[in-house]
Amino acid sequence: MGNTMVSEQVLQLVTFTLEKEEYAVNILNVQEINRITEITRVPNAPDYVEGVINLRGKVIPVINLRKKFGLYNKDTDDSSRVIIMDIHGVTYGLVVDSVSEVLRIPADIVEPPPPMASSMSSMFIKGIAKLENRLIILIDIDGLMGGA
Amino acid sequence: MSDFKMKILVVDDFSTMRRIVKNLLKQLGYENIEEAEDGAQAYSKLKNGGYGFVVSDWNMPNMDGLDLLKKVRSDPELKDLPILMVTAEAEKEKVITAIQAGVNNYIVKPFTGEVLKEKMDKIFERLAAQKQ
Amino acid sequence: MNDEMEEIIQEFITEAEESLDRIEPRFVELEQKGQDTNLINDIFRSMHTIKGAAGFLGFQLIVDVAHAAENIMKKLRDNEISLSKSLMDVILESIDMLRLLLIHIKEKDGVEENVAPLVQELGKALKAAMSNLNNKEQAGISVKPDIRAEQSSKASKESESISPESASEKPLNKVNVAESAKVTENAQETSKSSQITQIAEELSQIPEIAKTTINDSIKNSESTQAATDGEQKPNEMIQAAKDNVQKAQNLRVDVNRIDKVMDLAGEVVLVRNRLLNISNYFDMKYTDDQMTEILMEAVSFLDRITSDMQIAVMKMRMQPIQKVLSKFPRLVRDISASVNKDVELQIFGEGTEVDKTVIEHIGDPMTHILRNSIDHAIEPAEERIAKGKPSKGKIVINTYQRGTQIVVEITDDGKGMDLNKLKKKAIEKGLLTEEEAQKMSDKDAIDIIFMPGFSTKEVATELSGRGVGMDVVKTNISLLNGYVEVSTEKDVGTTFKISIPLTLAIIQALMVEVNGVKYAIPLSPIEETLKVSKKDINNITGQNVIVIRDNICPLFDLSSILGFGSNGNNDDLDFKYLIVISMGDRRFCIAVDKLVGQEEVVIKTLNGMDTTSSFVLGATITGDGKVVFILDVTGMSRNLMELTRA
Repeated sequence: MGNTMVSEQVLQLVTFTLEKEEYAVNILNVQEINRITEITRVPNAPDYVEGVINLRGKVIPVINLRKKFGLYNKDTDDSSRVIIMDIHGVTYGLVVDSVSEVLRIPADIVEPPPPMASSMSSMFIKGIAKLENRLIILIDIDGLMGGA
Repeated sequence: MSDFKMKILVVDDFSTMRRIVKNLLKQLGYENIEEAEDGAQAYSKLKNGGYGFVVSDWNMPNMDGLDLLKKVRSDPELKDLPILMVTAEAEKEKVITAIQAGVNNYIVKPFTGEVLKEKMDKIFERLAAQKQ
Repeated sequence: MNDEMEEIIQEFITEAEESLDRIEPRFVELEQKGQDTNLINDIFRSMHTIKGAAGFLGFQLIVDVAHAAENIMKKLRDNEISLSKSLMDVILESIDMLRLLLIHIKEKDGVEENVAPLVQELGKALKAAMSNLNNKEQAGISVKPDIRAEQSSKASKESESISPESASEKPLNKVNVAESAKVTENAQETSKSSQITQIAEELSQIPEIAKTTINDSIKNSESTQAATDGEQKPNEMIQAAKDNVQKAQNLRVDVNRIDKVMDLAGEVVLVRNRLLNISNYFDMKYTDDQMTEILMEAVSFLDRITSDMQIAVMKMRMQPIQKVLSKFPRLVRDISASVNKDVELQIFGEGTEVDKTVIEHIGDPMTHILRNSIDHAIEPAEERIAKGKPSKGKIVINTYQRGTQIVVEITDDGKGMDLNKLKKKAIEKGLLTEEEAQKMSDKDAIDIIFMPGFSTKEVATELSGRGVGMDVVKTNISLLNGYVEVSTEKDVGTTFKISIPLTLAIIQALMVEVNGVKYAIPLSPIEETLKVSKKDINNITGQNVIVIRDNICPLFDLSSILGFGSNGNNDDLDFKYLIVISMGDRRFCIAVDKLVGQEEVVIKTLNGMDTTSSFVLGATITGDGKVVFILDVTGMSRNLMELTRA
């Protein structure tokens, strides 16, 4: 409404769901999105480490975001996906309930996270994007993997 | 006018040095550059013919630059081949020996592309003058 | 252009480091052999070349240090000074400095070393060596003074009288013309004289060249020439020529490129495995189809070349272990000098080839063992003589290949380990109880030295007393998937025997299954596999054990080790398969559900995850595309043994 859109910065995000809430990561970090393949469990690993997968001959760790965020566990199903991310040159997979869409939003609609955001630790949240009828939680990839 | 198609042999036992000299020559426009690791290898390459110019280091194992120079000068097929000797500052005194042995010119490490060009130009100018 | 420059710099660093690696042992050789012209020439040339290239690349500090060191080598070469220990010390110091400078360039850390004190020291050492010689001559001690030395001392006296300013004054030009005229007399062709004059003119622009040096240099280079010509033996020349042919066939390749090929080869293996599966399927379904036969043939051909290719690629990463060994003569020299001991080092088998990773990681543990031997094991000369041993201590490094392992033995002829003393120390330090010490076998007692926090030396010396114990040796070698064994005899000596797999990229593994999941266990530490009935397993104070040929061996369930709980659902199995692991002299058993078979597996590194407590050293991908973890038996052994001790 009458706001100037001159030097507007645009964010490109990949959005996905976890427990009915909508989350997003920057598309620049996303390599590809795959269906769940066979995951091999890692011995003596924290429970949010779902295991490792074979990505065209490379062995990469897969993080279960539900467990990482302390949400209750749910078996993967047909809509479950692994988002393959490149974070500072290291490849990770993130298991999510489903992937929704690629979204372009102006950067200035992102607000800083509220002091106590839902059930998950606010250190993984970069901000919250408020769209019409939608709230999207932007994930802070560095914060997430720093704790991994 | 320099002939940029001329085949040049760069002789040095240190591969980094060969690369540096090669690079400088390329910057000057020369395209046809070959390498040898010491005098012995250089001499056998030269014997195969086709070279128009040699840039040689002095200190090398097996056959050093001075021996290569002497060998080339005493070889009827190669005796007129222009040779530029690369020396280090500490060896300037040795230059006289090289001149006696018939070196065309010498160049002191480290040198720039311009200095190299200057030396090469001088050599070829003088050769041209001698032919007249 | 920037990339090109970057590449040249990288190449320079590698080549310079290689040169230093090559000449360093030659110094020690030089010290033993005395004034050896070939050795001196070789070292001089390397310094000189490093200086030259560094000049081009603008690494002034390297130029300064190499130049100062080269000056000394040059005087040595020309017999103007003679070799002394103090001279050797400063030159070796300059080699260390050059290495340090190269590291700074490599790391791009921007750190600037202050080389001025070293350069000054080098200059001082040279001056001291020169005046030594002059004094001798003046005092008439030298019976037959070297002609060249005499000349040079004259020359230096003369040049002393010419101040730097006067050297660049105009009259020099005249001198130069005169000199060049003299030179012309010697020249064979008159056409050269104009050249000479011209070059001499150029020379005259260089202020520091005085006429004396020109004069001397002519005589000098002629006589040196004759000397070196006479000294080069024919067989040496043939050898040199041979070396040269070999060198010419070498190609320097960036390791990353080789690793890339290695990765790709690994992936081809995976595709090959899949194709094998598919072709087997077709073979069963369409047995009579001629195309099936052709397919089978093609696939089996692919199978063969893939294996060959894999081996060929691995070999590209192999390097002679000499790369590591060459630094030890110097190291032993320095350490033994610092503790006032005389120790001789002998090296055998330096041509043995091992994987690059082994080269990179075996140096530190070996250094540590050598330090320890010189510091603790080799007795002082008086003590050795009293024992009837030669006064000079001896350390032998022997390297050889045994099967798929590389073995490195480090043997000293020192006092050997006093096991009772070791036990006593360990009890004092609270690492052992009195009771444990009594029950301990001799083998276990030797292993005390590898316990974290143990060091037998009463007084910590500068060398070994750094708070780093021999446990680091064990840890480092475990990282290479290897192990250390120690044997010792009182007053005869001690041998450290390190065994490491030749390559870390592909290993022979035993595939096992637990709870329906496959794991790969490296074959090298596996002593045997057994099938046992459950009733053969005993429990002693909570620890499962099994008796194998009268030896009690602790037994662990793989499922519990890996944190997947005891495999309750499989407890109804009547039989268990046991894998007997032997690490050095330590034995234990791992129980699994099934033995699948032996396989050659390609190790994939695990990035992005913390595997410190996972007991995995990597993963591999099987023919059907599944990820299988390769277990870290060394880590397990350490952990499990601590458990049983506790």
